[in-house]
Amino acid sequence: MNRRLFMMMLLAGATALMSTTAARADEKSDLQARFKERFARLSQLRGDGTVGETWEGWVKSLKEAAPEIAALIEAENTDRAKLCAIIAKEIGATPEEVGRRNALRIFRSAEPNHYLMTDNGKWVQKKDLKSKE
Amino acid sequence: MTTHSTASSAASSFRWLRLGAILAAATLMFAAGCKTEHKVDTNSVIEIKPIYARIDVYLKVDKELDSFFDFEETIKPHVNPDSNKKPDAGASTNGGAK
Repeated sequence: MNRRLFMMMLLAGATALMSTTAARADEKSDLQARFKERFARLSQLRGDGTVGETWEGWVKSLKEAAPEIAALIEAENTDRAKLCAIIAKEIGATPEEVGRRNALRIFRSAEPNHYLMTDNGKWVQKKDLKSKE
Repeated sequence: MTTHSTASSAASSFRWLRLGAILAAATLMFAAGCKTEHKVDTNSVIEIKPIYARIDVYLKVDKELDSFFDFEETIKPHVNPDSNKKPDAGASTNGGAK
């Protein structure tokens, strides 16, 4: 009887773990689809100097943003926060750490004319940025 | 005569013994005063571990992010290299960003 109960509990635990993992994978997949959707427009806005990237991993507008752009920024940052939380939970980091690592990734792949906000809070184009690496 | 000689000898040896004891005590006190201490601080060994742990976490985070955003490489749009437009002076840095 005890053995049967133990097996049932083990099965329930495994099912719960599998469903959590699957749910997380689904959420990541949805997030990725949304990032993909926004990527081209965001790249265009980065290229013309409308938006830039901060050292904490957020996208920000450099000037007064049109409603369409403000909504895009809001959606992008909301999804970035979700992604950071998921990865942080998976790996055992904090969402802030994941955000800063993502910012580094974005800084590395940025074009020379892209605007980046360093930890002193100032906007600087990548070509003028002195790398510490 | 013999008794006097023995007593004198005992008193003399007691004096020497007292002098020896005083000298030994003085030597000990002097040695204690000149003692130096060497402490090896091993705190740095304790601090290294969390740093390594963080680097390990960062590597995992980087790997995860690279894998998640690998689509960016395939759909990277054409970039206009002449687009070096500066932002307005004193421009707002808000706009829904966190």
